[in-house]
Amino acid sequence: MTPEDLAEYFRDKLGARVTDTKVAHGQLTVTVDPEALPTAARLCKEDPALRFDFFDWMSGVDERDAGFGVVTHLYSVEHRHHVNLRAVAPGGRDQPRLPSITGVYRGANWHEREAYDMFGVEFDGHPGLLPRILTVENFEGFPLRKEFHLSTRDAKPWPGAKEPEERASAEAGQSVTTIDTPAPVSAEDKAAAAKAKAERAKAKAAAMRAKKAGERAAAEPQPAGGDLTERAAAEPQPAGGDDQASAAAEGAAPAPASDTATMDAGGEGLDKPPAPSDPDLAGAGEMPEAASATDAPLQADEGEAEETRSASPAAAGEDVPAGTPAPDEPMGAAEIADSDIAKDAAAGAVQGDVAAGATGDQAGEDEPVDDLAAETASGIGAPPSASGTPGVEAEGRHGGATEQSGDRPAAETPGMNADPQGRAARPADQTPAPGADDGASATRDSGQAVSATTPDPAAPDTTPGGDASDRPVESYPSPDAEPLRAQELQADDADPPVEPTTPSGEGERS
Amino acid sequence: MTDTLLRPGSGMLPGGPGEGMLVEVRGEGELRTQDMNLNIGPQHPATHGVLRVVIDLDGEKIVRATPVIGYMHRGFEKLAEARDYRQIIALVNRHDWLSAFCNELGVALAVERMMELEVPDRAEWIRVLMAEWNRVLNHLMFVGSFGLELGAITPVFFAFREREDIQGLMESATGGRLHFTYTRVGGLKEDLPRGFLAASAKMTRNVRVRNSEYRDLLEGNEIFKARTRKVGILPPDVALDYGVSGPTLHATGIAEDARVTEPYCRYDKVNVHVPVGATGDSYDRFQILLARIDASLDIIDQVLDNIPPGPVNVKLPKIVKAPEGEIYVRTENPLGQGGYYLVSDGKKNPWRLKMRTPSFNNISAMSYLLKDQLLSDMIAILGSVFFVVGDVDR
Repeated sequence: MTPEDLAEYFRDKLGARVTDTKVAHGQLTVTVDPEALPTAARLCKEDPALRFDFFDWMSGVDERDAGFGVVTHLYSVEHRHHVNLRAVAPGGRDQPRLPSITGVYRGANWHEREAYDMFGVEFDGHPGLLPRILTVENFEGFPLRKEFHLSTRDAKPWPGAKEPEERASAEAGQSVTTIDTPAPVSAEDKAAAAKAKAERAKAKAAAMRAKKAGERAAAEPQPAGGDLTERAAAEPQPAGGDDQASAAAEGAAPAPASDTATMDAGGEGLDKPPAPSDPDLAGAGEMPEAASATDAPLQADEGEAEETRSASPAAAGEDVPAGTPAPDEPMGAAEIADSDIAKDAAAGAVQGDVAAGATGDQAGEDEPVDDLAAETASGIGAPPSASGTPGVEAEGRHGGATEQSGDRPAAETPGMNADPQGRAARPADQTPAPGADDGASATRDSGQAVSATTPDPAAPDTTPGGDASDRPVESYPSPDAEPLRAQELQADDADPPVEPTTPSGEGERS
Repeated sequence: MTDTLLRPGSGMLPGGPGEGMLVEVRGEGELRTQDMNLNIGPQHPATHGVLRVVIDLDGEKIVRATPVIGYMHRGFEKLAEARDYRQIIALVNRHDWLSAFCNELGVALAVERMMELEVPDRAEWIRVLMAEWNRVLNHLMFVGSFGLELGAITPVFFAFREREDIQGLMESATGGRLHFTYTRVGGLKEDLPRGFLAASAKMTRNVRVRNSEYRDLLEGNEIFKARTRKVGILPPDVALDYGVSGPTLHATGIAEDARVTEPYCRYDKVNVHVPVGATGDSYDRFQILLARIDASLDIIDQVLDNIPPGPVNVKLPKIVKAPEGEIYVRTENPLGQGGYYLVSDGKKNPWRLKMRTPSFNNISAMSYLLKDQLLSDMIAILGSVFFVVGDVDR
């Protein structure tokens, strides 16, 4: 039966006890009279046309002024249809009560206990709602009610506030999640302390930068990007200042541009020296730098400029060589270029999309032009050996190295498994640059790729196909991935067959 | 009495009742037993975390067993209400740490369906690939630990060796070993690294070979069989009544699997084999686990055959907001059916996010399963109803 038919069927069978039916996203929700809940459940289970034999779950929902709703989800293995059986507990927010359906579905026992524990809905006829199932026995209150505040949100405002209205509400001490306004926090004090801290961190970062720049200035010329980054970092931050300051106070990474910089990475951004192998932070720092190499923040629109500014101190603070020919910079750009190329050729995607993907969907407004310019910049100024980028980025770096070495065979490479020629044409990519460091999360996989391609860099196209034919993997017939796999198999022969990831090449360790 | 203690063909037990030395039977031929109340856990190695089972014993027989949960309650559902959808993806990685990718997939699907987002084809295929690798990872863990609890030390070392390799593979794509956080609303964090598919193909071969070794190690083990066969039998109707799902449900003979009945991502384009058991005992549950590893490897091979090139992301607004309404999305997680009931009021964080976790329902059936069993069978039962305590308590 379709959900609509089911709704009709419920109305037929239960009559006025069905107060509402609703179909949304192809899912049926039947609201029944609270008293009729066990009757409805029994009908669901025993009616041969319904046969809801699988008790899926039951859950309370805070229905604001109406009190608490309880939704029971049932599924029929036989008919493969679902229903949400919903009842709003009478008694408002003070004394919500519902009849229990444990007599119908045994599985409802724990779910009703949970609904009691979380929302305080009492179930008549339940064998025992106490002791509380999830919280401790002397716990006070019902945690999933909206008036129950998360204590952390009471202590400090929402750190993820990005929109102006949220910021305003956060400064007013209003927790985003609550109905009622909790006691306001002393936002001014916090902001002041945070500002001071940000200043200190900035000064420290600038000192470190200057020192590093001095060290390297003699050896290498300063690219234009360094100046800009420095300027962006040293600039006072008029618009994003408060936001960033409060973020600093809470120890959150002040890089709202990246959603990969979660709270886990928090606090380290400002004070600590770089953790270069941290992909999150590298990702956060990479966009503004790559952009600044091409004057992008100066031309970008308001919102993006603000993001860039607020992100750049993080980059400057942790990324010591920001003022020098930062190894990150071409690498980041190369990474973008690499993935661009891959996706572009395959689907003609806009490069901005890919950039957004690389930095966590946030910097969606990037112009493709920037990327192109960044690629060019990376092609010119990229030092071939860089440190501390894991996974894909490591390959991106190799791509950058290739670009630097002259023409760009990579430019025509579509998706990773779409074009064997493209891959075969870049054996140099796979050769680890001397002194290259693949970082903490260097992929065994890329190590594998290295070992697979290096034996035969000159003539990858001549790989005998017959070699692979006696392998079980030959049943994997995607024609385009063939040459690489053949090479891998060759490499396999050298390895013990059960050890798939023998570390080989310096790329894995040094 | 005597015939229960003697195994056919094993001869006389020395000092056993057949020799009339140790057991003196009086009265109506029954031994006096003693009632006892016993706490298993919360810190017990067989409980995979902090599950506590309070047991009333009559002699060796379990009269009543009451699982006590909540020792690891972290309030994920409350935390989710204070986070936006991107952060929730990182959050749900953590309630079942052995099924991280499958969990995050459920949230992403829920938000995408509410927003009616079209996810790129390649991303959907990669999701299938990753979910199946995650399933293999999870099952290997339980294959190893179940043997360990029954006294077979070797399989766990073998299983962890394979887990290590697969984790390395997953890490190369996602950056995480346990908490992948690879899904995004509308796609994935980024494309697979170069060479991932080839490495996947190789890994499926290795794991398949290894899996048959586990089968020999454990299914060929007489002690293992004796301890698990006809132990902890769960009838199908009871399993459904409790909402038991996953391998535990399949062992009872019911092949309910969301990948087949309501395919998500690209499961409709692959052939999903759902192994089912016959008796629903511990041995069946374990066999299902091994068979599911092979089934997952088959799916991975099919993905490798079919995965198209293309983008893995869609362009999203800066703040993802699910429109007002509610939706329930279920996925077949390694331990059973995982689901998210998302109620949105149109803001950037959910109004309510109910986490339907397989372990919670599976453990709620535990008091039924343990009743009238022998205490020595308890470990075989606990170990074979696969659960993660973080997934129970959330």
